[in-house]
Amino acid sequence: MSRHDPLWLRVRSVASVVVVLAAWEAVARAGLVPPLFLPAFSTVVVTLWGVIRDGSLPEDLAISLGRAAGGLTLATLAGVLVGIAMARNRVAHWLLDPFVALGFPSPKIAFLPIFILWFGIGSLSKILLVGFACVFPVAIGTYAAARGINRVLIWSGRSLGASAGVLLGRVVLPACAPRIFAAMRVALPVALITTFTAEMVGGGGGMGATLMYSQRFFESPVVFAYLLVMLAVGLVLDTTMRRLQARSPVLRGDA
Amino acid sequence: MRPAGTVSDAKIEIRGLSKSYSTGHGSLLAIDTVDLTLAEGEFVSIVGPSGCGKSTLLYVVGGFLSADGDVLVDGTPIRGPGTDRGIVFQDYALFPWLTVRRNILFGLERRDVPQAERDAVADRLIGVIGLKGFEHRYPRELSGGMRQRVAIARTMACDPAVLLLDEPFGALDAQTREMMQDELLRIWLDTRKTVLMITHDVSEAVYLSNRICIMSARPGRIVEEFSVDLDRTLPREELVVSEPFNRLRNAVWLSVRRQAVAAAHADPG
Repeated sequence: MSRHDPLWLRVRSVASVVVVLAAWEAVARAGLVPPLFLPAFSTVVVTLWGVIRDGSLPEDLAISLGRAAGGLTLATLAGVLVGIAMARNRVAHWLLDPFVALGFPSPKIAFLPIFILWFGIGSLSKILLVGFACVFPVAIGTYAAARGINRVLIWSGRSLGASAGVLLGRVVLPACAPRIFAAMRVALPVALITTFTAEMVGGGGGMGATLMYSQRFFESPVVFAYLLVMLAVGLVLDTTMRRLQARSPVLRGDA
Repeated sequence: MRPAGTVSDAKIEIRGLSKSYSTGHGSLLAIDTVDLTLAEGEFVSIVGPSGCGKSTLLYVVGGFLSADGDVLVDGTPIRGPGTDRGIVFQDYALFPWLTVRRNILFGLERRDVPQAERDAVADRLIGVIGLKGFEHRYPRELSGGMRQRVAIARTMACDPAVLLLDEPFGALDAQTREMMQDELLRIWLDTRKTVLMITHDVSEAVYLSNRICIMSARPGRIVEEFSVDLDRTLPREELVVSEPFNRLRNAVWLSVRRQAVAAAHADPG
């Protein structure tokens, strides 16, 4: 087996994770750290199995993923609209550019109190906050994509008889699709972070709320179990998006 | 608008066409008062040194760029791009997210053509360009020559009266380029479309055209014209070694060379 064999690389990544988990287990079992600060990995796994079986984790996960997905969907719709409008219309660019420049680097989570005030403590305020946090990377990615479209693609479309609307739907959007998708991949962790953080701060159920609640009641194994699930969710979703991109000629975007 | 009293069988009339770009240092004249008329069914090539504005001229005729002066097709001034003028670009400009077949169907789907007829046209063109078995491939899976054949088929699917070719074979290797030239020649002899081709390949221009216009370095002007009167029934290997072919090729080459040298002296570096 060669050193660059994909299987070998995978074995190596798994091995390094196993080493860290073993060290964790050893440190906790040896009593070097109080269990409140660091419960043993095996304890965390047992706890994880428990919260899966009693349905509390699946319910929290469904709530959080629903909010993240809802927010990301809103952000994608709005971001694509804003990005393409800015790229293809000068007035739209003048109007929207200052807000994108201001909003992109801003700490979106700081708007949570306002969002709670306006939209309540439930899912709506969180979905909208996630949308707000994710709309900027999507808008900027779409704008860059739409500005960078090879002009001969647009010209080809027009000389083949595409009207303005058809050009937008059948040429501009597909031409931008790979970079829009790449922007969504950037926005996905932002959506998860914003969802979990908003739940931790604002409550209203979900992964973040239970995590915070368990910490208050000194249930460290639950805290760690939820953390592990959060890590896994990010990895699985990002890998899924990467696979999707590799399979789809529209998302892969090669000439 | 056709001036009162003129009757012409001109397919394309370019009158007093100038194009300038604004740059950081003021405006730059790319094309300077070009007049050119193409008769119905004529194959005209424009040859000139690089950067002389010949592609710009083609894009203006395509309706993609605006300019001063008039471009008339069948006596009517053009307003933007139209399906009456099909264009083939050097770098193919295929839609990478569509298969060969869907690329070819793109123009047909924009028109009020019954499904069965669209399929028939696509099937016929895929056969003509010799890509049967490749119709469900994506452009990235094809060689340069195959991509350019798809680009030509996609344009021909709309059956444009005018073909605009922007250095269509410039990105191909020498052997593929010759094969593609022969295919283009066959298509043109079959369909007798009016063709305006931009090229920097003198042999290609002589081999394919009825008429060759030499463009000066920037600002581009048409400085010389050559009519080509060669026996098209001769196979390539006989034609390209024939006396008339080489005499004309050398004359055209010298003319382009003069423009390139003039450009180099005018703009050292």
